[in-house]
Amino acid sequence: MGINTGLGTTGVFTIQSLSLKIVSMDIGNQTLPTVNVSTLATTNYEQYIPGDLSESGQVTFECQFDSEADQIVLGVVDTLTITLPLAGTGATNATWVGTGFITDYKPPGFVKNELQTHTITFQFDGGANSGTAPTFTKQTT
Amino acid sequence: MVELKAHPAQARHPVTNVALFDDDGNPRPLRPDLRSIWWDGVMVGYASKSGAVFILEVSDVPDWVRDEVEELVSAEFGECPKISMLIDSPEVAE
Repeated sequence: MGINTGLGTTGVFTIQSLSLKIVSMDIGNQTLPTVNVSTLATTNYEQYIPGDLSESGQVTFECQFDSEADQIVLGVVDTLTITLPLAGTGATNATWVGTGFITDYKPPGFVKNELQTHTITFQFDGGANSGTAPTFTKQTT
Repeated sequence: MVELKAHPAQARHPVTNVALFDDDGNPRPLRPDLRSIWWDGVMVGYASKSGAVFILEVSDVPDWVRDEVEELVSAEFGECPKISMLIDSPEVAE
């Protein structure tokens, strides 16, 4: 059984060699559209069938800002590896891996009595241009 | 001991989405161009032709580990252009 909290989760951009000091992470939703197939002869409820292509989702990171780190670059195709903390007696961590690019970057605000944090939004590309669609690999024991 | 292993993400069949294994029963890597970095049986980062990325804070990575990783990545990919780590947690000024 691999139940755990989010503590210990890491996010790495391999091409930019960027390791993020993450405060919180939201890996977004994978959503599949629905197709309404109701007709005038349908009774009781609207009827739907699954759409064809899913949205691969966006990942949002809130990170501690490192003023000695390189500037975040938008639009560069990169591989994101999210490594989950080991649960129980696991040997190899579970991972979320996919290619994509940063689409939004919010630099830190500067406020007294508050830590500087920045926000990064990463769009999975769904495997475009011979990339890698977001793939979950379970923890092994 | 510091070593490079295959990246832990496992490839899946493009049509059936079933996880793929080789003839010996080992997972086929999703990204053959990437590696994972292991230090005494614990995964501590990733490597590629772009360099090495630790998922540890700077102060947790001794120089000898960093040096061994640089050598391993250079041997695997021909060079190790960059090594990055997590920034250290802020220290309270004394």
